[in-house]
Amino acid sequence: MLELLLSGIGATLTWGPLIAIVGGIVLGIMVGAMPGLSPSMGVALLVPFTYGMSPVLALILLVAIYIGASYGGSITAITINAPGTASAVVTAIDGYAMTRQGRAASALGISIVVSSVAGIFGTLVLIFFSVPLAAVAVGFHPAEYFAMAVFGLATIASLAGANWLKAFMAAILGLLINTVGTDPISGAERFTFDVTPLSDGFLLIPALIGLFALSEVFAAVEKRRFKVARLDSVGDKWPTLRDYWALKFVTLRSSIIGTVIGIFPGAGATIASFISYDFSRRLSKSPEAYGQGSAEGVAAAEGANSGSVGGAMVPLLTLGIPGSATTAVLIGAMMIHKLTPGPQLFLSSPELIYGIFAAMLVANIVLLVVGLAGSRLWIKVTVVPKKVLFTLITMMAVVGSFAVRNSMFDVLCCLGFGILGWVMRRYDYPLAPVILGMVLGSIAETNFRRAIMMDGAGVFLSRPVSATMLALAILSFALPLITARRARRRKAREEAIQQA
Amino acid sequence: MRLFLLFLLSLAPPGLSLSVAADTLGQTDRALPDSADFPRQPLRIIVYTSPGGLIDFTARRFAEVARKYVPEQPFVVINRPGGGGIVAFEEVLQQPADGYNMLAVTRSNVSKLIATGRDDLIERVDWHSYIMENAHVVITNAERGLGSWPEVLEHARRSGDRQLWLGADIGGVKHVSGVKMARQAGMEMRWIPYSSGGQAIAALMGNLGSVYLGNPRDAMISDDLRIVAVAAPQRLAAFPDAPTFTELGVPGLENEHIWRGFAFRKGVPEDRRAWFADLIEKVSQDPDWIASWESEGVSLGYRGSSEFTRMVERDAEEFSFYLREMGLLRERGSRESLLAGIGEAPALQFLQALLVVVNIILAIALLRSSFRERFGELMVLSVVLSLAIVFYAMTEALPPPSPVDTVGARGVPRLWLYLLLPLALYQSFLILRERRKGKPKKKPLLLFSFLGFMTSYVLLIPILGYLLASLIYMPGVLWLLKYRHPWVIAAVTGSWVAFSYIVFQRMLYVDLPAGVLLRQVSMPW
Repeated sequence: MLELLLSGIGATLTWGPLIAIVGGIVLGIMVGAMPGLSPSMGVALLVPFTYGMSPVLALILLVAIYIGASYGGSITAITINAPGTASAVVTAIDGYAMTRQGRAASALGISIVVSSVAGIFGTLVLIFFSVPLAAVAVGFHPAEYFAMAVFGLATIASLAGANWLKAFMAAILGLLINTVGTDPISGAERFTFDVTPLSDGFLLIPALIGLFALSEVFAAVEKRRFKVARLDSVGDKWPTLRDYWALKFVTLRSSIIGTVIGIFPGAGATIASFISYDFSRRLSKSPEAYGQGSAEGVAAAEGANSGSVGGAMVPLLTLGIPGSATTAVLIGAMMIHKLTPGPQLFLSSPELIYGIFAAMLVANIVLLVVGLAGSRLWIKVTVVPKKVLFTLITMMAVVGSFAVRNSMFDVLCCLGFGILGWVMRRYDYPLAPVILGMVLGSIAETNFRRAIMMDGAGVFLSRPVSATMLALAILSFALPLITARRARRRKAREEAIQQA
Repeated sequence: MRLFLLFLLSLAPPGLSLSVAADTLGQTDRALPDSADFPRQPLRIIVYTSPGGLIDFTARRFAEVARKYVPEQPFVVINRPGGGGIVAFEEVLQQPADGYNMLAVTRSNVSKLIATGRDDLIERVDWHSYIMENAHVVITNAERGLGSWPEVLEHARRSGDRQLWLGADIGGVKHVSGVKMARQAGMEMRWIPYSSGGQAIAALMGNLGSVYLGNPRDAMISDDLRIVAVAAPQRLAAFPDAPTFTELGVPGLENEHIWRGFAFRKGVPEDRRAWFADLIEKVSQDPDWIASWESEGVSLGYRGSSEFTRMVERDAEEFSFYLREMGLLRERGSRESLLAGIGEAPALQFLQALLVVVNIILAIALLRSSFRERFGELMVLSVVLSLAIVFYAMTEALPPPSPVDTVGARGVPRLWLYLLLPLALYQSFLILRERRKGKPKKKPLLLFSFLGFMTSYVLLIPILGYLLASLIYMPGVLWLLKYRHPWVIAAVTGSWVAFSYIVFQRMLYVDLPAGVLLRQVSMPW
């Protein structure tokens, strides 16, 4: 195995593959950073350009785009609060808070370094453990998917801060928004008011752009917050090696969570980043900093996000089953190059598989170099005059939500979500739970119903994995409430004593 | 405040009127230039699934091979997933009938359109050419001990109705085939729908079900997977060991298959239709095209529009029959009224009107009460509660739980509503109990004009076109924000418009709206 990998790395370090990797990473970062373009769209758009290439080179280019795009979403999340992908929502929570404190350089540095480290970790897991892990992934019962989604929803407790009631309502709003459209099981249309574009429900990308980027602009215009930080005050606060070293455990933990959750087809980077954020906060020495610009929070989100790329490649390469939207496109690309992903590919063309593995390792290192250099450029976004920046964000929102499927309806949705986000901000409702609900809603519902169809309602408790996860979810949701209540009581008692 | 909530509520109607506007726009076809130099711009193939599925692959493969014969313009594949094909069909029907928009279709579209009550769309497209089909096959996991059809049958007898068949969505072409197979074989099965073939195969490999119904190529993923029965007249060349249903003694299953082909909006000029027929036939016989389908268990062959249309009509009849028998055929109300087809429409309209009145009264009462400072917050909750009630009423019209799907389409939305209602009430109670004077919030006048400006921009795009509207909006909004640097404004506006045009329109083939006005004159791009 090692020999194959080493020869793969040797083959990758030649001009052709290196150019493909660098080009793929740069393009990928641009795709990820542009709200409205998702990693899967980026890869799909590039497929026609690979027709003339050899299969290995084509896949190297496409995988590099995937890796670059998975990171790119965090740039706009940090600099302008416009997560390019759903999984970057969690990055935006602390990353944008850091930007507003003038610590954008620190957030950008952490996100790129943690991304590459987690990407390399995920690739190593893919290389050494893909076969046993794939066996676990396919045996995952719908009841267990449901339990995982509930577990993901329980992370609201972490996002809530003091205000669990509002966070919970926001999540249910997201879950309800998710039920609009065609019912995934019966095919019935729900709450669509006969509007054709709604038969597919509210799309995630316009919702993301509206809720986060537009509502931020609206709130800033309302409060006339147009002051710009000076570049010399934000430009030279890049993290040092010591800063990165302090995040070693968070990075490792989030890489593991990202890779493991990424393995399960259909679960993906978004759940991983929410769960990782929740985990890190619980284990952190300073949980109160989360949400207020915590470097750990950025690392937890980004590590899980990038680790999930390696995870999603596990079922793709070992079984030929797509674990995410982007890997589904990769399967199509492989078919075009007359390759059938699956166990046979390991036997028939190991040099191709190990070429991809090697390219993923190299691509993450290239990502680090390109990203660090690029961060010096992206940081300048924070010194663009706010009035110009806000105008550009609204333009980007319009064109980005239109581009998803050439529909003005989606632009109106984006605007609507922007106003919704502004109202929610005004009355202190957190926004991230809405996205969590929108992402997890259909996973929870389809698997809940599928599980009952397969084995009846008792299945959730009779399968040990799902029972454990559900119990953990309830516990992790209830604990913060109980501790908060206790703290309140203790405070009241102390006050009573003081008064006495 | 309330104005904006009302705006939020009214989002759906503008969306509707917009799509209607776009539809009428499509109908007024501009004079088509002479077909001699066709095509003069990239040709689009609209695919009704996300990238990655078999039809997406077919379209992309076609685009690649067709380049040989049409070197002057590329074929661009565009994915418009949603509604089992409805979104893609409507996209093509909104474009002019000039042949630049080709729809990649499968037999699955026919069954889904019938199941969702949109068979009008079947009538509205021109079923132009059939290019291939593949038989449905029954795949099992040999590791589980089900290595042949008799074993599947035996297992089904032992497990009553509890044998799980994994497959695609309820009411889809594979579901109908599965039901037919079970009936012809005299067995019972339980259909478990998955959102993608890949996920269903993963479940089969994880031993979560007994049978997967799919395409022959699905069996190539692993050595453990075995094709135990083929619903075709003869064995497949690529899988010579797999027996047909006829050989297995199950009659009436020689022709369970999925076909793929291309369709256009009706009304494409005859010379262009002929041009496409010629091209598609050439591609069908191209050695590269044939080679790419080798070992996939697909049977290729070009059939022209009259034969294809007859096939579609036959299929439509068959699906109507089976879907009705399976209890999956939904009659849908006329599409003229916004609320038609949603159960007790008048009752629902009355409820909505009542809730609007209640909210208005509540707003007036609040403004006159001591809770004036918390007006916005309370009104938000009240609107949320009203919407929840409307949604709850609408769940009445959804299909009720069935013996197969005991939760049903209404179960989960209701669960969320049950959770939302008490929480919203409790939150309102907390505000009312607190009696704290909320800090009065300033009227955000600048924001309101900003929002008004942006909304009119979005609404004007379909009329003025993206470029012109943007050229007006950007300087306007910067001026509104009191940004007074004319040169910077001009530079930013110019570069953004150029950037978005080059990147989106030219490189990503995003069709930025050209605008009704410009369309009337000519198309400079």
